[in-house]
Amino acid sequence: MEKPQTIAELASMVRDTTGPIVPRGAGLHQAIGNPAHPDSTVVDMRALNVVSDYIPSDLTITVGAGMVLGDIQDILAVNRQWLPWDAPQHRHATIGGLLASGLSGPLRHGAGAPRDWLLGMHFVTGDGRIIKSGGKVVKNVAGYDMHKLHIGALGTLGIIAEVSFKLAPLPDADESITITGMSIEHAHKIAYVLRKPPFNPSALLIEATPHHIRLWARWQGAAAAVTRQVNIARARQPIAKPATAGSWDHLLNTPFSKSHGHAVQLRMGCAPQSLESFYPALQAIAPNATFHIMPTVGLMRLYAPQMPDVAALRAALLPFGGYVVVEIGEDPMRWGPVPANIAIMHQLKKAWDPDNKLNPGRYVIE
Amino acid sequence: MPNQLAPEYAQLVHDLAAAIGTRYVLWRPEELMMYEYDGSALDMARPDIVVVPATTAEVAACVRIAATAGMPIVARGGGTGLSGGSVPAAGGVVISTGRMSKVLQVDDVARTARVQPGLINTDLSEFTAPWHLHFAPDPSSQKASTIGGNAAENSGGPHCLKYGITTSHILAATVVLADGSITDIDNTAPDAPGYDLLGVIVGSEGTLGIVTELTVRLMPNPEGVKTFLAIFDDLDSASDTVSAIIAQGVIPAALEMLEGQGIALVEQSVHAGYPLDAQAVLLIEIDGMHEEIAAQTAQIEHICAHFEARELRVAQDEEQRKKLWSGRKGALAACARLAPHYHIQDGVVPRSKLTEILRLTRDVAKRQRVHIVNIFHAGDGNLHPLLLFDIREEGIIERAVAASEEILLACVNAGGTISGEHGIGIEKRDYMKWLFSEDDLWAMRQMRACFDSRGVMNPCKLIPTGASCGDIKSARAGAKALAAGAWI
Ligand SMILES: Cc1cc2nc3c(=O)[nH]c(=O)nc-3n(C[C@H](O)[C@H](O)[C@H](O)COP(=O)(O)OP(=O)(O)OC[C@H]3O[C@@H](n4cnc5c(N)ncnc54)[C@H](O)[C@@H]3O)c2cc1C
Ligand SMILES: Cc1cc2nc3c(=O)[nH]c(=O)nc-3n(C[C@H](O)[C@H](O)[C@H](O)COP(=O)(O)OP(=O)(O)OC[C@H]3O[C@@H](n4cnc5c(N)ncnc54)[C@H](O)[C@@H]3O)c2cc1C
Repeated sequence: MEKPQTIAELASMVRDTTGPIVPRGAGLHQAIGNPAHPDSTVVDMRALNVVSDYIPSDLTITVGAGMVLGDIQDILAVNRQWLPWDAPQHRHATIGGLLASGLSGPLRHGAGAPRDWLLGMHFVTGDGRIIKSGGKVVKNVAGYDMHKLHIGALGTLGIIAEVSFKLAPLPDADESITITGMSIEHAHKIAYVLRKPPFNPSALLIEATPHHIRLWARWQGAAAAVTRQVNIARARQPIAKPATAGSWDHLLNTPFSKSHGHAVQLRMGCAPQSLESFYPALQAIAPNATFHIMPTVGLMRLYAPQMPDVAALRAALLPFGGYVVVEIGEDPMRWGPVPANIAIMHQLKKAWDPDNKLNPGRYVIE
Repeated sequence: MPNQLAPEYAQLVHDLAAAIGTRYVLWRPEELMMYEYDGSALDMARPDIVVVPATTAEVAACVRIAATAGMPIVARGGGTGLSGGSVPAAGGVVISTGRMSKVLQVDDVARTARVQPGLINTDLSEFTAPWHLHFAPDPSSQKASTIGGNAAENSGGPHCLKYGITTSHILAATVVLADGSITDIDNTAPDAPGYDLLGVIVGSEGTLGIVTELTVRLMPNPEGVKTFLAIFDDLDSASDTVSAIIAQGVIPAALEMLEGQGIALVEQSVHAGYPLDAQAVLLIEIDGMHEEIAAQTAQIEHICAHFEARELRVAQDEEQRKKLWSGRKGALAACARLAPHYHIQDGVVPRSKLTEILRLTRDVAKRQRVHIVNIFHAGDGNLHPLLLFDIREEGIIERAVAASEEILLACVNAGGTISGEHGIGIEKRDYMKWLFSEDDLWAMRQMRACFDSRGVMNPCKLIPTGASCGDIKSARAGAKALAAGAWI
C-alpha cells in the first residue's frame, strides 16, 4: 500500500507503478463495481487531507481528496456554512471516494448534485500527469469542465487529488416529517403535492421496506418559512410525525450497517415522470427488498439479502429510458446494456490512462 | 466583389443545396457579411458558406458534406457571443440554428422542456409561464441569444448567483459529431453508467459537436420577489457591501453593480431613476418564500446602512421593478454612446477581493487613457469591465488590449479566472496559459480529439493552438463599429 503525502508524490508514484492501481479513500466502498485486480497497488489517499484554501467570506473551499466529508462539514459549520451534500457514511467516506462513486443523497432534490457545487479539480492521469480543471471561483468557463468526467467514474479516468467547491450558508431551520402507511404510488403522489407551491422542500424520499412504506420530507431555510410549510403539511396530513436531521442520517446509513446484512445493492434511475409506471413491477419483482426512492429526482436504490431478478427489473425500466446497475453483488451484467457513446468513453480512457492502470476492469468502460 | 461562386466551392454548395434546399445555402458576399462577427466586435472573419438547416438530420447532412470537403464547421446561434465563438476564424461553413427555434415539449411533472437550439432564451420562459415555470439562466442578452448558444458558452446571468449557471440546467443534448453521426447525450435518468459527457459538451463553445436539441430543467417561479436599488457615494462602500452580503450568508437571487461614469450614461438613456452623481449603484434582488424575503430584507437593510448607502430604494410593484432592471439590462447599449467601439471583459475574482480589483480597474483606465465602465455580476465576483474607445484614435487598440490584459492578469493573480461566462473563443485563447499548464492543455486537446479527431469543429477556439490559426490580433485591426442600441 502506498500513501502519498502530496499531489506530486501521488503523481510520481503513479508514473513509477507498472501494474494496476486502485485509489482508496476510507475503503468503505471498494465493493462497488467489479472487484479490483488482485495484483493492484493500493493508493491510500487519506494523507491528502488538508484544506488548502478556505475563504469563508467567498463561500468557497479547496480540499485534498482524502478528506472525510464530515470533517469538512465540521470546519464549515464554524462559519455557519456547509456543503449541501448528504452522502451516507459521511463521517467516514472521503471526498474522492464519494465523488468517484457518484454518491449523493436526498438533498439532491433541493440543492442539486455534487456536480453543481464542484468548481474545479486536480487529478492525476494514468501516465502520472497532474491536470487542473476548472478553478476556485464560483463562476468560471475557462476550458472544458473535465472535472465532471470524474464524478461516478470509480477512479478509472484519473485519481482525484484536490477539489474546490462552492458552499452554502447553513440554513437557520431544518425540520422534517415522515408519513407512514400507504402504498408507494400514494407516497409518490403526496411527494408531488409537497413539491408544489407553497411548498419548497429540500428533500423528499420514499422508504419502502417489506414492513412499511414511509414518505420523508425535509424543509430548510428561514425559520418562519420552514414552520409555515411544516404546519400546512401537518394540517393536511394529520398522521405526519416530526423527524430530525439525525434520523435522515440514520435512514441513509442503515442499509450499510453490519447488522442489516444486505448483500445486494442496486442503483436504478429514470426520468422522474416515468417512475410511477414502474412501481408495480418494482414490488412484484423484488418483494423482499428495501427501496430508497427519490421520486422527484428519478433515482432509486434497492437493498436486498439476495439478488432479485435484475433482468426483469431492466425489462421494466429500460423502455422508459432507465437503467439498473448492480452496485454490490455478483451479476454478469453489472452495468446493463453498453452506454450510448461508449466509443468516445473508451477513447477518453485510452487518452488519459494509456496503459490502463487506473482501476482496470472496475467500471463499464474498459 | 463579383456575385460569383468561387469554383472550388461549386461542388460543395451544390451538395449542401441538394441536402437542405438552395434557399438555405448562402455564399454571396453580401449574404455572408452578417456572419462575420459576433457581439465581441473585435474579431472578424468571413465564412465561405453559411447553411441554415431545419432539422437534426439536415445538420448532420451539412456536417458530413462540409467535413468531407475538409471545411471547418462553426455553429452559430444568435451571434451575441462576446469571445468570437461563432466567428469562423479559419473560414469554412457556418451552421446557423436560425430555423431551429421551436419548443418541442414541456413536461410540468418532470419540470423539463425539450427545445431546439435556436430558440431565443426569453421565448422559452414566456412559453412556460402558464405552468409558473421558467428557465433560470438569464444572460443579459436573453432577448437575442439562443439556448444552444447559452449551453455552448455555459452562460451565466444575473440570477445565476442563486440558481447556478447553464450547466446545472441542461439535462440532455442531441449532438451532431464531426463525422456527421447523431448521438444523444442524456442525463435525464440521473447517474446512469458511463462518463458524464454532457458535463463537457456544455461550455465546449461548439468545439465538440453541434447541439441540435436540448432537454432543459425548468424552475418553479418563486413565491415572492423583492428588488432594491442601493445608491453609494463611493465605490469601496458598494463593493464592501457586496462582500458583506455574501459573507453573511445571504444569497440574493441577483446582485448587480453599476459604477462610475456608467451610472449617468445609463440614466440619460434609460431613465431608470439612478442619481447622476452616484459613484456606484447595486441592484439587489431577493426571492423565495415570503418569510425568507422578510428575513433577508432586514439583513440587507442593515448591511447597506452599515456601509453608509446614500439611499436604499425598494421597487413597490412590478413596474418599478422592471424600471430598476431596465437600467441594468440597457447598460451596454447606453454606455456605447460614450464611444463608438467597445470591448468587454469577463474576469472573475473571489468575492472578498472585489474592492481591490475595482480600484485597480480605475487605475488602469487612467494609465491607459481608455474609458472603463463596470456593469457586472458583483455577487459572483464576475467583473465586466467595458472598455470604450474610438479606433480611429492612434494606438488605442493596443492600449485597450493592454488594459484588459492587465485587468485579467490581476484577476488570475487574485485566485480568479479570465472568463466567468463569456467563454474563451478566439479572444482569450492565448490567455489560457495564464491559468493552465501545458499538461492541462494537453488533457483538453486529448479530450477534444475523442469527439473530433480531425479538429473540424470550430477550430482555433478555446485552446491555444499552433501557428495554423494565424494571428488573432491582426484580425482586430478590422474592428467594426456597432450601432448603439444594437444589443439589448
Ligand atoms: C457496503 C457499502 C455500501 C454503500 N453504499 C452506498 C450507497 O449506496 N450510497 C451512498 O451514498 N453511499 C454508500 N456507501 C457509503 C460510502 O459513503 C461510499 O462507499 C463512499 O464512496 C466511500 O468513500 P471511501 O472514501 O471509503 O471510498 P472508497 O470505498 O475507498 O472508494 C470508492 C471508489 O472510489 C475510488 N476512489 C477512492 N478515492 C478516489 C480518488 N481520490 N480518486 C479517484 N477514485 C477514487 C476507489 O478506487 C473506488 O472505486 C456504502 C458503503 C458501504 C460500506
Ligand atoms: C449585451 C450583451 C449582454 C450579454 N450578457 C451576458 C450575460 O449576462 N451572461 C452571459 O453569460 N453572456 C452574456 N452575453 C454573451 C452572449 O450573449 C452569450 O454567450 C450567449 O449565450 C450566446 O448565445 P448566442 O445564441 O448568441 O450564441 P453565438 O454567439 O451564436 O455562439 C456562441 C458560441 O456557441 C456556439 N454555438 C451556438 N449554437 C450552438 C449549437 N447549437 N451547438 C454547438 N455550439 C453552438 C458557437 O459556435 C459559439 O462558439 C452578452 C452578450 C451581449 C451582446
